[in-house]
Amino acid sequence: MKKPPKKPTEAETEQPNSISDPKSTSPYRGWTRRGFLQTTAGLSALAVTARTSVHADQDVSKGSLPTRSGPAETPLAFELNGVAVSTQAEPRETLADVLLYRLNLTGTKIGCDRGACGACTVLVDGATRVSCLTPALDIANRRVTTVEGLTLKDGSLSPLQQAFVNHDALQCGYCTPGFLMSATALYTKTPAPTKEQVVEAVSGNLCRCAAHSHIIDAILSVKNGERP
Amino acid sequence: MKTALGNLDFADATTLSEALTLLASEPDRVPLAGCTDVYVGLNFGHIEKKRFVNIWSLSELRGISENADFLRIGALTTYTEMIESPIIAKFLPMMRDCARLIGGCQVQNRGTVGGNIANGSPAGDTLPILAVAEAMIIAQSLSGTRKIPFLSFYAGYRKTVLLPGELIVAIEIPKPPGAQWFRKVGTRAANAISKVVIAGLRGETVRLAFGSVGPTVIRARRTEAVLSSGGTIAQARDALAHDIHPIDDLRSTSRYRMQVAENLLSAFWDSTTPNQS
Ligand SMILES: Cc1cc2nc3c(=O)[nH]c(=O)nc-3n(C[C@H](O)[C@H](O)[C@H](O)COP(=O)(O)OP(=O)(O)OC[C@H]3O[C@@H](n4cnc5c(N)ncnc54)[C@H](O)[C@@H]3O)c2cc1C
Ligand code: FES
Ligand code: FES
Repeated sequence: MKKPPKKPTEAETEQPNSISDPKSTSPYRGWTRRGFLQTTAGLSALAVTARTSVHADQDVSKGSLPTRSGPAETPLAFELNGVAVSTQAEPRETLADVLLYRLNLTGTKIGCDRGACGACTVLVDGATRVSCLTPALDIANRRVTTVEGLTLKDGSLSPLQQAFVNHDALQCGYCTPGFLMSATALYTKTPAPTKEQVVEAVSGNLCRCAAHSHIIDAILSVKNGERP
Repeated sequence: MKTALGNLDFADATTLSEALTLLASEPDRVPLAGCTDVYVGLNFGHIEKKRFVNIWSLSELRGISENADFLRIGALTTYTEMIESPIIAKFLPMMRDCARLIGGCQVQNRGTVGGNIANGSPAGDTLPILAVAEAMIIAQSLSGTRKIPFLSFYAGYRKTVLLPGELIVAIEIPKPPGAQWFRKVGTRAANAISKVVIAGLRGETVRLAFGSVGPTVIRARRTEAVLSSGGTIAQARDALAHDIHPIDDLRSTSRYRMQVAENLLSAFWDSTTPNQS
């Protein structure tokens, strides 16, 4: 199924300050795979702008019929990492699809696409959800937080993110965003969790590289949101 | 990417009456609650249905309450809500134990008890609890409401007696008499589907139900009779072989399941035996 064309966001087209060294050159490193694919496909713009809710004025009284959508795409508005976004989605798309392929937020990962690995974990209204099993249209007007939303205003890593770095809590890093979201939700409810509480909070997240013990240490090292 | 997700028709109900009105004229629509079963099926092309009605926003179907005799759990109540409920902790602690072992927190925040029941998997972990507690399913359609005893809710493998146009709106559970016990055995403690799951109730009589050992959840009536009439645990283990007939499948073998079920029966009996000392 063809997705609507998108232009790389500013953050994606921005050239990193890459260097030339024995393994590669600076211009080569400046290309991301995604940026390359998008540019060569000649994609055009689809702005992600703030807009008011598309469902707000469709309130229906008792006995009436529900709002229907599909199979074509319909407008979808929600709050993403504190910013109002409005985009389009078909009923068949999941929240993970919309984040990755429509909004170009690649921090959320799809590991299993069946709710079992936790790599796609995001927060919806503050609670963890597997975005691979969440219909996109079900998040209209809700508040979504992804790993991109954890970084502090000044661009530095959140205490949890920093703790993962300090404790070497990853190898390939594919599971990391999901663990970070589960741990973030835990700290919102339980500022000083025990090890048992940490283990239970991330029991829906799997790490194929088996970094679990470092991950648990990293999460435990952050108490009351202080920098470890 | 996705295999079979084309041409979906998605209706978003905001009230129970909206949902039932739509289902009355289009009874083939599949209700969507937490989607933790349906979307696995959609993402992997196992579900061919294309028309859905989203009931997640129906606040009428949420919440846990009690009166002198019963608990009432709304069909859309999530595992997280059951884990956090003081009413469940007090009157149905086996349900809290069960809910904590379903998926991870992400699935517990979305998976609903109504979805577990309607999905009707023989491995559904809440089903043995509802079977020993002798719950009633409250089903509603535009033409009215009826109460279905949980023990007659399944007509066969993944087949329920729900009529076209009906939704499960709540479950009514008589406050269980006696000590409650729940265990599941899977490949790992968390986030794993049961190979054997058991719920037990030990009061004046004994009630036992097993999941994942037959096409639907099974009340172990012969075993219950042995234990309720003062028989030994060895006699009860023998009786269990007449109550359940587990099969080999991709998750486990018949022999393993039978052995584990017998061991769980003994563990239930030991841990609910009042301390003699
Ligand atoms: C990673 C993972 C781990 C899991 N682990 C477990 C586990 O350990 N034990 C276990 O038992 N299950 C487990 N499950 C399965 C699942 O979470 C449960 O069965 C859940 O309770 C289903 O509820 P839902 O609201 O998500 O249902 P949905 O997926 O929305 O619906 C399931 C079915 O029920 C129907 N339905 C839903 N609500 C109603 C209603 N009110 N009236 C009529 N029909 C209705 C739907 O039409 C559909 O056919 C797991 C799932 C995942 C993804
Ligand atoms: S991709 Fe969603 S849980 Fe694995
Ligand atoms: S670091 Fe590779 S999966 Fe966890």
